[in-house]
Formats: sequence, structure tokens, C-alpha cells
Amino acid sequence: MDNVVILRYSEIHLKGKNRAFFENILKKNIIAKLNGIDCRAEFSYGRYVICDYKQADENRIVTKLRQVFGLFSLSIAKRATAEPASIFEAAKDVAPKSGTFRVTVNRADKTLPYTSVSLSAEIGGRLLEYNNKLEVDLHNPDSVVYIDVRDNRTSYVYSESVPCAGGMPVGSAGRGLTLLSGGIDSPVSTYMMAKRGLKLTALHFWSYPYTSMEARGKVLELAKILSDYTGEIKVLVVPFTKVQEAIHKYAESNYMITLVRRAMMRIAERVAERYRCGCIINGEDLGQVASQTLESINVTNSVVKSIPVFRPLIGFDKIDIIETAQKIGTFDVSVKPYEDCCTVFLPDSPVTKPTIRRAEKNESAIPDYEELISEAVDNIEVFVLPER
Amino acid sequence: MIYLDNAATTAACDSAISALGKYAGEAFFNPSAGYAPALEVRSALDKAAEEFADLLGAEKSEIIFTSCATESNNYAFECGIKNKKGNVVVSAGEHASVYESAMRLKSRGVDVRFAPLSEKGNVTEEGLKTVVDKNTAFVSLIHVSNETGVINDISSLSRVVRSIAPGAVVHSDGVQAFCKTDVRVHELGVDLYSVSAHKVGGLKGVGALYARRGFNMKPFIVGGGQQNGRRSGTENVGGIIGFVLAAKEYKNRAETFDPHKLRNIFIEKFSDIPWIKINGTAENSGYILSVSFENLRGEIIAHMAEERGVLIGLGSACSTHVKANRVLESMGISGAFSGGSVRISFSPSNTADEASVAADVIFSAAKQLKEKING
Repeated sequence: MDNVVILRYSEIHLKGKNRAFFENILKKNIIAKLNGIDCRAEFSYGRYVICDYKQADENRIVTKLRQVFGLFSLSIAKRATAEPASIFEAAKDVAPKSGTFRVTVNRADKTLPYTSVSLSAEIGGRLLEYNNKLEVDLHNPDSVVYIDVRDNRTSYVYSESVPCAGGMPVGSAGRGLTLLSGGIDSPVSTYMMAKRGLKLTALHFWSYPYTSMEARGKVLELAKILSDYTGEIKVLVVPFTKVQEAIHKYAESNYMITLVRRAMMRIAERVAERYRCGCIINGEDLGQVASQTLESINVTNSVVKSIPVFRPLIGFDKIDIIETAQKIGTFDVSVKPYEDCCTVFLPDSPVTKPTIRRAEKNESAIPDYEELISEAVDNIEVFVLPER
Repeated sequence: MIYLDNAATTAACDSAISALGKYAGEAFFNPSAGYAPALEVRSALDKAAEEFADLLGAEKSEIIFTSCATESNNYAFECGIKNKKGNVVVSAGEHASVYESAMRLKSRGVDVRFAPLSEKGNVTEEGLKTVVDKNTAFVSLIHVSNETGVINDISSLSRVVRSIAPGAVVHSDGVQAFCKTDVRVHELGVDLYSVSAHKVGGLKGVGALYARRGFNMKPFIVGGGQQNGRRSGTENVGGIIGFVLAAKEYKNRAETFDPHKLRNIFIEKFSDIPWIKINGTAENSGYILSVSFENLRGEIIAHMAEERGVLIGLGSACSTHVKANRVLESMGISGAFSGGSVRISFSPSNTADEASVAADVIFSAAKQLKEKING
């Protein structure tokens, strides 16, 4: 009788003929996640099991698997044979020490000489004899002992389910380009789109010497944390200084932020094409700051012609975003006080209701605007996290 | 590369590095052990402590080696306050390790008072008298400001304290003064004095606290009873011996080095420019220069200087990323200037040529930034 980890997947079971596509990506992601840990993964229909690992690695396996998108929950189970005696030995370990309980049996193998009901009665009865501090309560028990008897004369006995990250397997929805600033929001929007199955490439705008080496280091640190969920992530760092300086020099100061964001979106669209990303993701949240009013979003969005821009946080309250950032572990890094490029040349009163016409007029006053954008795209520095 | 951030840390000298190697390698023995090779280590350590005491004008029994000056300062605050009901006075120009120690006391309900800084950046006798009274239990005044290099006249100030509150304990953070000004602790009239190794060519991870003879300093770290029970933990032998060698060497070199000559190169370059301000005009150690550029960010100027091969600091490294500069603001320097401050700090390894190049680089970076910001 050994310990195993049972995995359950989330929405994939809703899929029809293309279910295998999603399952194969999920299996690949699970195997990649457990790379370096001595264990075996068994994938059968609707039930994935991690087994043959060292007991000392069990917590590590659980922690890692909880970060895999596409998994709904997992349980640490005892693996026994289909014989009632063997199942009882496992149930003894799994059952609570006191309080009320019930036994729930799921019997996939219909050839066995017992029914689900008779097996649950037998195991429940033996547990009562074994421990007189236990009581049966079928309707509202303190704990449930689950017995899952599979086709291959194997049964799994467990009591608790641990929730996993949910969502869809990373890679099953294609690739997206996520804008990662170093603030609180963009790591959360990245996480949310990875959860919907996107494989992500991150884009960071860096304005050295106006922002520091530490600001860039912070983004790489965030990407490393996110890579626990997204798998390996490429961070593209765009040298953005010249673009910002030109905008500051030639544009109306209250349009500075609008123009900077339009330039970012233009660069993002080109980078997305170069790196085969089918969408752009940003952390905008309606009404949070001047650049995130409906009018501002419209003016920045209008420069992107060929692919959709996703804003998963658009309807979130800041407090909810912070909560998620804390849950995924990016918050403490995000609040490190290094300036990001959005704070460079900040005007006193940025326009909250910009117009496309005026933005275009301002851009036309910037000499060599197009060249500056191309130069930024051509001089991108690439980092891959986690470092190998 | 021109390195002008010596108040943050200095390159360790060869003798300090060799000492570390020696006492980690061939002479690795625990100085508290009883066999002959360990006794040799003990005797080397004792000799170093004696030489170190000489450098401070103290006695060997008055020296406690620590892991850094931050530990020394924390130790002073945690164990140096005898009258728990009295008030505590610190200057408004303290290093973060003293400031935070004071704020911790404040959070515990202690009456903590801040002695104001003059516009020139020093603590004056008059300023000190506004906060010290007969119930003052502990006073901590930085000897040389880590932000501006301004010297506080500790011996006069401690006399003022003692005349008002004879029972008060006087501590001074001497990190930026040690080996750079003539420190004779007995003449300073302090009970406690903190110093650090890595500001004078020693290694990081070593500091010391002077505790006046007769001053009952209870331990902060307890354990095996090393250093007469005042600071347990096996001594960092290589680090301590290296500290002493480095301090001796630094002091020797400092005798023939005139930091004011280098500092004045910058002052001349920046003088008469209305948007540049030299912070702290009181008597200066010469090793630190704080300059502010109106409405510019110091961080950006430092990055631009780095791109041109000059490394400078942004005030105390412990507070690089705190937007407001607490010390400069307490000198009455407006936000428009204090946010744009940089710290240029020297060591005897720097030359006048380096200072000239760096002054040009910093000035041109600031000018360029100003032009860009103003469009």
C-alpha cells in the first residue's frame, strides 16, 4: 500500500471530440512541472495519478501541481488492491481519529463480487469496530472516506481534496503577448490569461536611465514567479527611452501618457507579429487612472489593427486585484519602490478624455516617429525565465 | 570606472582579504579552544583588539566586535538605556539604523525626541538644549553625517547633555568619522560609539561598539560568553583582524590625503549655478558631498553618470528608494531640491583627476537631463 496523488482536471471534461488535444497538453505540462522529481505519472481516462515517489517529495509534488492550470483538484490517496481487506487497511489510515464519517464508494469495475453500497457498508462497519470514537452520519458527516475502485483491480482511498489552479492547460489557447510593467496589475492579468490556456511572452518597456536596473530586475523577478504557473516565459525588454524623450519633447504635455501608451501598443503589435502572438494582454482596469478611462482606452486601442487586446482586469476593483496578486505571490515584489517607465515625465494633469484626432496630430509633430518605434522593436533584449 | 560611492562601501584592502583567507584556511581554529594552534589565534585576536582600541583612543576592554555598525547601533539602543522611564533624544540627521531603533522605542511608548539640524546640517548646542532635559536617559548623535559629511561637535554636545542630564547615556554613530577624522573616544565624552569595517577598507560583516570602561553593557546576543559575555558567538577572526589591518592602513593613507581638495573641485564646478545646491555647509569631514539639482531626480542623474563611467550614491544606501530624503528635509531643504540629491563620497584611493572628470560628467548629465525635462 503506497501513497499516490490523484489529479482531477477542470473544464476539459466539457470538451467533445477535441478533448484529447487538451488532455495531451495538460499531460505534457504535468510532466514538465514534475521534471526533476523522481516519480511516475499514470494517465488513464478521466483519472491521472502520480505515484512511485519518495515520501519526502510528496509536499513538493502537491505544491507544484497546484500551480498547473487545467487541474481542478487533487487528493493524496492510499493505493490498495480491490480486495476489501486491503481497502480496509488503507481506510484505517485515511479515516478520521474521531467524529462522524461516511464511506462513499465509486466502483468502475463492475465484475467485482460486491456492489458500491455493500462495500461502503462493510468498510464503514470495520472502521466502527476498529475505532470506537467514530460515528456514522450519512447525511452530514464531519469527514468522508472515498473509495475509488478502478478497472485494473486497484483502488484509491482518500479523504480530502485540495483545490488546484483550475482553468485550461497553458498552451491550449495559443500564444499571447502580455505587457508586464512591474506594477501590481500586469502580473495578475498575465496570470489570468495563462489560466485561460494562453502560453505567454512578456513585453517590458524600459527607460534607462530614467528607470533603474532594479526596475528591470523586478520585472524579471515577477516573470520568474509567474513562470511557476505559465511554464517557461520569455521576457522581451524594449529600450523605450528615446521614444519617451521624443514624445516629451514634441507633444503637448497633457497628452504625454496617451502618446506613450499608443507607442507601447504599436510596439506591442509589431512584437506580437514577430513572436507569433495572437493577442495583446494588458492590466488596464477601467477608471483606475487617467490613462484607463473609456476615452483613453479607446485612443490607445485604436492603434492596434490586426489582433485583439485583452484586458482581463477591466471590471475588477483594485482590492480584488491585490488579493489575487497576494495569492499568486507577486504582490510583495510589485510593491518594491522602483520607478517604472509610466512615471517618467509625468505631467501634472494628464488628459482624461483624449481624442484620436488630437493624439494623431501630436504624433505627427514628432520627427522620425516611425523610425523610433522600429528602432525600439529592433533592439529588444530577450530574457528567458526561469534561467536554466 | 570612477568609484565615488565610498560612503556606501569601500574596496577591501589586500591585507584584509589575506587575513580572511588566513583565518579561514591555515589558521581556522576556534579562538576559544584550548589547544596550541587555537591559542595562537586567540593571541592574534587579542593583539588586533589592542591595536584597534589604540586607533580609537580607547582600551582593549572597551571594544566589542559585532557583525556590522547596524548591529552596534541596535545593541546601543537595546542594552544601553539604563533609565527606562526617561526620554530618548536622537538627531534628525541619523542613519536609518539609529532612526529605526528610535522609532521602535517610540512604538513601545518611549518619549523619543528629535534634535533639529541647522540649515548648515549640524546639531547645534542651542538645538540640543530644546529637547534634552533632566529626564533624558539616552542621547544618540551621529558624528559625521552619512548624507552630507557634516561633522557634529560630539565633545561639546555631550558636555551639553551631561550638564542638563548628568545620568544620560551618550551614544554616537561614528561610522563615517572613524579613520577620516581624528576620533579619540575618551575626548568625545561618549559612553558608546559605533564603527564599521567596510567603510575603511575592511570586509562587510564586521563592526564594533566602544563601551566606556565602567559602563555596564548587558549582552544583546547571548550564548557561549565570548567577548567577556557581552557579545556571544565565535568571533569572526579573519574579519576582525582584517578590519584592524585595514583601519590602520586607511588611517595612514588618510594622513596624507586631503579629501577637501577633491570635494572642492565639485563645489567649484557647481557654484553659482542657481539650480544646483551643495547641502550642509557646516564643518565637513571632506569625504562626503551632498549635491541637489532642482526639480531633477537624483536617481536619473546617477544612472546617467553610471553610463558615462562614474558611480555615485543617492544618500544612504539604506534609503535609496525612499522618495523623500528625511535628513535633507530636516535641514530645511525644499522638496524640489531634496528629491534631486546625489551623494559623492571619496576615499584616499581617489585622485583629483578623477574628481575633475566626475564633476564634468555629473554636471553634463544633470544639464542634459534638465534640458530634456524642460523640453
